[in-house]
Amino acid sequence: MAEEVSSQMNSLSISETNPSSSATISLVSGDDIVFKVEPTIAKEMETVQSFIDETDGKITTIPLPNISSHDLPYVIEYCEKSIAGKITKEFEAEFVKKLNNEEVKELFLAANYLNIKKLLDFLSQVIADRIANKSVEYVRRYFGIENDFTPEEEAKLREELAWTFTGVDPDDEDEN
Amino acid sequence: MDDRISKLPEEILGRIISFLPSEDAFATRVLSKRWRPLWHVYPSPNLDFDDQRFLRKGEPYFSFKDMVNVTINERSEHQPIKSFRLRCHESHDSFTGEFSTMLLLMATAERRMEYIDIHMSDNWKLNITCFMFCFSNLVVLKLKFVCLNLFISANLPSLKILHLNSVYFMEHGFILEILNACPILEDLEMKNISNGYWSDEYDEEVKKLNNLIRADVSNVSGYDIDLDVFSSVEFLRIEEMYGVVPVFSKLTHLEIVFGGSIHWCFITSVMKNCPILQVFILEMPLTPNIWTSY
Repeated sequence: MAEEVSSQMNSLSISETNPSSSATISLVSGDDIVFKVEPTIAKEMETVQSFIDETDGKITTIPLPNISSHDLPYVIEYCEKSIAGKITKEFEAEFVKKLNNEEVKELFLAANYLNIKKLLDFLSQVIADRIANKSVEYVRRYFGIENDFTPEEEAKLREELAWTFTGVDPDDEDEN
Repeated sequence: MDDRISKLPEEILGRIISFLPSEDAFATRVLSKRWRPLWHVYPSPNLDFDDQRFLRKGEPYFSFKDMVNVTINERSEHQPIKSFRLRCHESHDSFTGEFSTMLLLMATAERRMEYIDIHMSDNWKLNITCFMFCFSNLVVLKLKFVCLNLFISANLPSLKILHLNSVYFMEHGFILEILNACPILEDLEMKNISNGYWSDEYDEEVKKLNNLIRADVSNVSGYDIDLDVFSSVEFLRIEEMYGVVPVFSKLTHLEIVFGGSIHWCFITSVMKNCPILQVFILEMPLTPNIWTSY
């Protein structure tokens, strides 16, 4: 697979007669699907852009092994809206409605990998909204966190604050 | 997949925590050893406490209060608080003193705060000192069911929204000083204002609020604020009218609560001075004495 991609890259850079900066960028998902995007989209993805910059724009096919062809279109859609200045509350609400918990987490990882700040902030808020008001157990399951506290440690932690403040007895207030 | 999220750099996890309501951010310390310190290392600049959310999780009330205190007290000066929102539905008088201390601490540490919204329960009026009236970066200030006993001075050069609902001022002059300290105020709501005593020291009048767009003023216990103060508004809801009627050149929506000091002839003269008025609502409370006023 890696060979496939690299041969593709070679053929592209050879076939390019005019390596102008406006050439489309090919993003290759982890499952080898190629997405052609405008260079302005690539600019939104810091990881991709720095890859292009490092090779002086000669390489225009970027493999993204961590991102699946299922998630990449969402990322591209968000970036397109972002460039157009059309990220509205309505758009974000619609965007997030389509996504289940697993997809939100996958996109969050993708946004982190691609270093797209706006998308990362937006998805942080989405994840926060989805775990807000939920029990500790739910949040652990959501993130796949292994509880590495002993039952004693956890019980203590849950009571820690109450314990710290037992000196502040409301009945004693008039002593101050 | 799940593992990958939990193994992300702490900074990224901290970012998620900083978007959580304060109660939930605080609870993340119980998730695992790795998560435990994060809420403290990456605190949200926006504090948002609501006792209902907390109580729904079955936590005892005193831990809500402790959590609020700890969240604020454990912040360093380099971790600014941009906004502070506190909702208390339960009434627990014994905690009032501690919240005041907490708010005072917050005040000494934080001058960069932009948003304060404190809404207490109606039978638990929070006693606070008026430190927040000196926050020069404050843009929004909303207080409901709050008692203001002490007053030092007011300076609110950035304030655009001021909502005071069921607020008790120890002295009547406080509120006049506050209004005169908000040069760019755009949205003013004052309802059910009461005060402890009337002092002769304050004979100042409220200056005209040139940037005001919306004013909703009712039941303000005898503050006779001249109509001219509101002359730049587009929305006006008012119960009492004083002074010369100015021209309301931008006013499109006018609501008058009929009664008190408002006479029919006054209403007519106000209407004459609203050239672009689109909506006029006259509220007629069913009290027996309103008809005797005219």
